[in-house]
Amino acid sequence: MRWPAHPRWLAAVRWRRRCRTAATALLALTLTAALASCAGGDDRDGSTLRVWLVEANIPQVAEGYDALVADFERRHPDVDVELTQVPYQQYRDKLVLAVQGGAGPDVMALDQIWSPEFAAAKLIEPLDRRTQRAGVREKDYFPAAWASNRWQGRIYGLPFNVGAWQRMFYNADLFREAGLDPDEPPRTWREWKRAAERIDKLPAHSGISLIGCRDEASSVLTDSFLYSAGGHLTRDGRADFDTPANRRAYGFFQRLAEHTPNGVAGACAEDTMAHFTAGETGMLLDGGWQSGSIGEQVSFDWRVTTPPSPTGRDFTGAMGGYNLAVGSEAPDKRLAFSFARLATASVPHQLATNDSVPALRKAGERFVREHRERPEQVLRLLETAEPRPVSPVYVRISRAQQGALQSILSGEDIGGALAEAERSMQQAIDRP
Amino acid sequence: MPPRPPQTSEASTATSPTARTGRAAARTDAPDAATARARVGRERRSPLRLPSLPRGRARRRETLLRLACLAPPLLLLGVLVLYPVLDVAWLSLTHSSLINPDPEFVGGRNYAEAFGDPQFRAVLLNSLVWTVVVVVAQFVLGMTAAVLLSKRFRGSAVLRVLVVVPWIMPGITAGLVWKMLEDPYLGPVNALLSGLGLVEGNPAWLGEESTSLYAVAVAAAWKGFPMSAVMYLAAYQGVPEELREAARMDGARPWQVFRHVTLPGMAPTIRVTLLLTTVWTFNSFDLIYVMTKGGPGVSSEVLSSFIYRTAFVDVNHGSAATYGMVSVTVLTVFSVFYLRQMRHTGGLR
Repeated sequence: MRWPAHPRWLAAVRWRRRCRTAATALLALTLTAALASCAGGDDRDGSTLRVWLVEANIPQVAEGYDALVADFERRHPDVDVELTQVPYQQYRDKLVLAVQGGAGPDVMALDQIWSPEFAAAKLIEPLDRRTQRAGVREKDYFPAAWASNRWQGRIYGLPFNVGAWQRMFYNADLFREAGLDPDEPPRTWREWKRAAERIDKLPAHSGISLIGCRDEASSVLTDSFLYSAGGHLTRDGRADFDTPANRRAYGFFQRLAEHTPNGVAGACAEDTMAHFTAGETGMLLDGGWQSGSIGEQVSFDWRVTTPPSPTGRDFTGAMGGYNLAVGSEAPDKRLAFSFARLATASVPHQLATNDSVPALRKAGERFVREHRERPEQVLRLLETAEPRPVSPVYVRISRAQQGALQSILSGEDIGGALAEAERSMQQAIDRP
Repeated sequence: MPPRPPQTSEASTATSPTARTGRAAARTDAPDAATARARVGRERRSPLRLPSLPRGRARRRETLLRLACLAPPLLLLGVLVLYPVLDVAWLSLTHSSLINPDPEFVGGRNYAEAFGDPQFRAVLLNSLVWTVVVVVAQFVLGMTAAVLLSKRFRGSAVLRVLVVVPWIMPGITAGLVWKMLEDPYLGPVNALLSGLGLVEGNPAWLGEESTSLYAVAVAAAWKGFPMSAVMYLAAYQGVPEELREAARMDGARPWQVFRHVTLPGMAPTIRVTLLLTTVWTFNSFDLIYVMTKGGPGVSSEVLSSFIYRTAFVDVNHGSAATYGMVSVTVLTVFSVFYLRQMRHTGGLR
């Protein structure tokens, strides 16, 4: 049968078919979008516990995480632990996005400096009553690690691991070459400056490597100079940065920086480490955890000791490390706390899940004696170290501090740089 | 012989520039004329243009069909582009942070603070310098590489593959490599420059305020030029060899051939590539983040890294959105201005 050419009814049928296709496409699109948004919703019950930890650097720690999860699931047979490991560099970005989107974990590792911020934002749960009920005691942990969890009189996490900034690594061969006794490293700032000068005079060498770039590492490094000189960044919740002790500390840092390799204002931790391990610089300030790495890389005689301090004062380090906190959106907070407690209060798990010093004193002491050079010095440092300012706007306080250091290293007046930074810090505190 | 379709006004418009611009334009416009003729043919065959349907109803149905077809892309554009831009514009008029997540309306305060802040102004200037330096360097390197790669020689195929390596290398890796290369004491850059007698001592290119931005720009030019090279190579090979040959026969020197024959033929690709590299460069910050973290001071901070820091480190949504709006505005103004200029001048000629 031959169809008449383009009858009216055929055009209408085609038209309806096209409309139907378009409508179906639109519907499919809408449904897809709706389903996608539903999939992102939170319909969890208490049978799954979501845990976020910083990605393990070494296989032993990854095995430690697995053992921790297995142990917890054995103790709670009806619970599945969903462990997410996030690389350190991306951890904060991902965590902030997740908690802001209401998809945060039930248990999360938090850098000590983030705990008050998350607490102020009500993203983590106060744990005072639970710690009391569970018999968790402050004295079981290194003091500064515990203090980093306390904000407005309440406890917001359990210390997981710690690291005290900093240790002084030095090249004994260069010490000898410069006429210095490597068995008698400098103890005071005056001796330190003199040692740096003498090494600096050696051809093709610099006295010391200092971190000066715009990074948290430069903040925590200079904190130890401030604390050792009796200074601080904040007092009673207000910025208190432009003080005589801080001016003295930064003044000394500026003089010491005269003996660093060129470009100290742009030198980050990896640069200072590269210069030291290449035998270019005589001394290096860095965390004690770098001992292993330095030992593997260098062929010269190197030593490690506590950094010098102002005459008549002891060196005071600045504390770093991670805490475990319970998310305020966790469906079963009791369960989440149980996990955090198991991870932080069990000596075997603390030892197995950390390649830095465990925050639990018993585990930490054992770890330091087994893995660190001069363990007594390290343990003393951990006992006396102070936390960085426990403030919900710490990140902005630290940024202001980094700005001051950059100005000082570029030769600006120290008083002016500290006063300007103090203003920025106070502005951050006033307008969180 | 089938009857030739009558020439529509559209078709005559498409062919009219032929007379004005000569043979090259005639070649370019010929496909347009063919397309126009094909379109006329298709429209004639369309069932919606049937004489059996009342003309008004058919037109209404066609309009409805067009709207129905347009709806999905418009919906997608609205959801994926318009809504986020409007949301960011609204956020830029508010203050909110991780601690105070509920946006508090502050009007234009974020903008006033941004433009009153010397640091932000320095960052804006850095962004412009960074973009111009990197785009120009990528253009020069890309064009040079394209011309060299267009020649046939032993190993040219391998070289064409190798030249893309910097582009496919992740920004973080490229940043680390260049940071090592530019290290004042351990990097080969200073060793090379010292060997040539161009520098004395050990200048810290990344550690000095006066050089840090340019030191990162070198890395960015290296990382980005392969994309330009590939685009320019394709465009270069698209220019008929006969035209160059004819110019040579007429006595044109190599530079004149390149300037008056090759370059005009490549103009559309050059325009698009420059526009793309400008937008990418203005928005990129991975190399800066790895190599200098924006320092010393703010000497190598650009708008995109400033936005990242404000949004993700400080978690200050309002200010980050404000900087974002400034960034979008700068790029929009640039793009519109650039495209208008190009249309006005008729390319690079």
